[in-house]
Amino acid sequence: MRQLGTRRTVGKAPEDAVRRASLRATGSVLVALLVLLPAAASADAFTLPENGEVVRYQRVLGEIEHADPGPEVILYADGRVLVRRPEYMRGPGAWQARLAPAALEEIVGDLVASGLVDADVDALRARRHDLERLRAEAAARDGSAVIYAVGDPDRSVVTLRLAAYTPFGDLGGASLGPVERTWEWSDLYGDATRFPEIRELAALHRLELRLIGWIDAQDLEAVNQ
Amino acid sequence: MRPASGVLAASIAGLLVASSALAGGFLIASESNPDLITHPDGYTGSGGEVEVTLCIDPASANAAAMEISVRNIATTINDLQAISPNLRSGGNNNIPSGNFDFESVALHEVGHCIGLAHPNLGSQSGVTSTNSTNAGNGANNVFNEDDGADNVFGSADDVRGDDVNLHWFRVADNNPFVLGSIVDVSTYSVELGDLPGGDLFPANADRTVGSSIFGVVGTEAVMQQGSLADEDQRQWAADDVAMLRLGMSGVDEVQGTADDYTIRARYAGLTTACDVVLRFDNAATGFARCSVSGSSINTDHFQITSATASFNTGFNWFFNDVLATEGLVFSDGFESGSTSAWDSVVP
Repeated sequence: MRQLGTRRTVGKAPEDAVRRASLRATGSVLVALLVLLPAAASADAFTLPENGEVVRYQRVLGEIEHADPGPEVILYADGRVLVRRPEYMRGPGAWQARLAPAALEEIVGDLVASGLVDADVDALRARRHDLERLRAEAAARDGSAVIYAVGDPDRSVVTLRLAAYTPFGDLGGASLGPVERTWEWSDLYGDATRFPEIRELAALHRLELRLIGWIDAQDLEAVNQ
Repeated sequence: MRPASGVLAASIAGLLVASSALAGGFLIASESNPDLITHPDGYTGSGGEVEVTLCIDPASANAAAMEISVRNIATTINDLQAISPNLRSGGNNNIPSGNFDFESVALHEVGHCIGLAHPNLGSQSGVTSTNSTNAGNGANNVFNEDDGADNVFGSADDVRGDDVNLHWFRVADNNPFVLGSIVDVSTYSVELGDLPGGDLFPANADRTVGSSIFGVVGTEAVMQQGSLADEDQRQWAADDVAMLRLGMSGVDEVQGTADDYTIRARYAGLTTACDVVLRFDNAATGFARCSVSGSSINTDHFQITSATASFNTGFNWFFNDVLATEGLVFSDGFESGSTSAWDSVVP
């Protein structure tokens, strides 16, 4: 069993300019990740950017009619968390908080370890579609056809920026960098809940829940504009 | 002719896969089955009264504050009246500036929870012309956005290419602001070939379509996607009632036959044991949504089996504190004490 603490990091950036990614996981996080990760998806290395945005998230609200589609959260490399709420929300404007470097690495590490960075979103949608079809066929056979539908789902838009990243599994070997990935998913909440076996979606949803926590937070510091 | 059971099962399985997203006049309808009709929880194909219970999760934030609105929504469903105008904003309502009217938003979500979908494409389509009439994107997998000569999206002259219509329209006039005495497949259709001569696509009950094309002011289908702050829309428009009544024509889709049903909505209190549970849940939604499970009655008819309407606490919600009385629905502000709309009401 591979120890997360021995993860190899990659990247050519200067030592003093790059924070090596290591999870420094707590026991509970370690257990959680080991449960979530199939053996084939053993995590490989990533390097956070020296500065700038690491994670950008927007919750595009389905039922709101407004030019501003929804709140945003940005996690910066220096640990700053920027929250922007539209004018139609409570506590509108820009707010900030701080995130410990280890926590940022943990957040990104969970995403990377899920295999999401290597995943083709269209393939994920196809997998969800296949799972839904299999369930539907089984349900139709036993006469218990059940369908799921949602009105006014949100659309989750997540962008991840890494200074360097080494794909794992069959894609492993060469280091990539810098890497930027954007995922858009409608009804992430519903799909992650209904298809927990799609570990990439589960990881994206765990990230979303953490980011939503900042959107909801009432103890943030106002950013002077 | 009804298909053999194996064929039916396969057809339903295909339908289930294709219909996980929101679609046209009825939730669960899709490009592969545009004339599918979704019925409220409790309708299995036999006529009579279908009771739909609404309740509030007692663990929810704002549980007590939601009660009058949820009671009023039950009343609105039971009254089944099309009201015009049904939009009030600014000084014409009792909503503080910048607040969202919980009752209006919840009526929209409960509409989903009893089977209705958006008349318009809405945000989930990814298009900029969200007021275009709801449709599938057709063989080319791209929505065709051309608002035609009138420059109004959602009107009858929209050029929609291979988009597959999902919106039931009045065959007589393609006017979603009119409600006739008969609402069934003899008067409504999703087939473009049934449109009145010269019309290219079904018009929807968007407020701009109403005012610009049909001369109907201040009126929009409740199920039209897009909530605004400081606006209330607590009463159905004609298109909402038409879709509910089309469903009520039963599985034979003919009004006045034995399989027709009526909906009786009832507030079941602070509990989660009901057909439509309402709760504030910030993980489930950034604003408001309804998720449903359903099962098939036959290939063209589904019933909802459970539904949850969720809302987000991160907004200034206005909770109506005026309890509506069943059968006393007015469009003129009478029940709220507002006389501002009286001069626009046609007796």
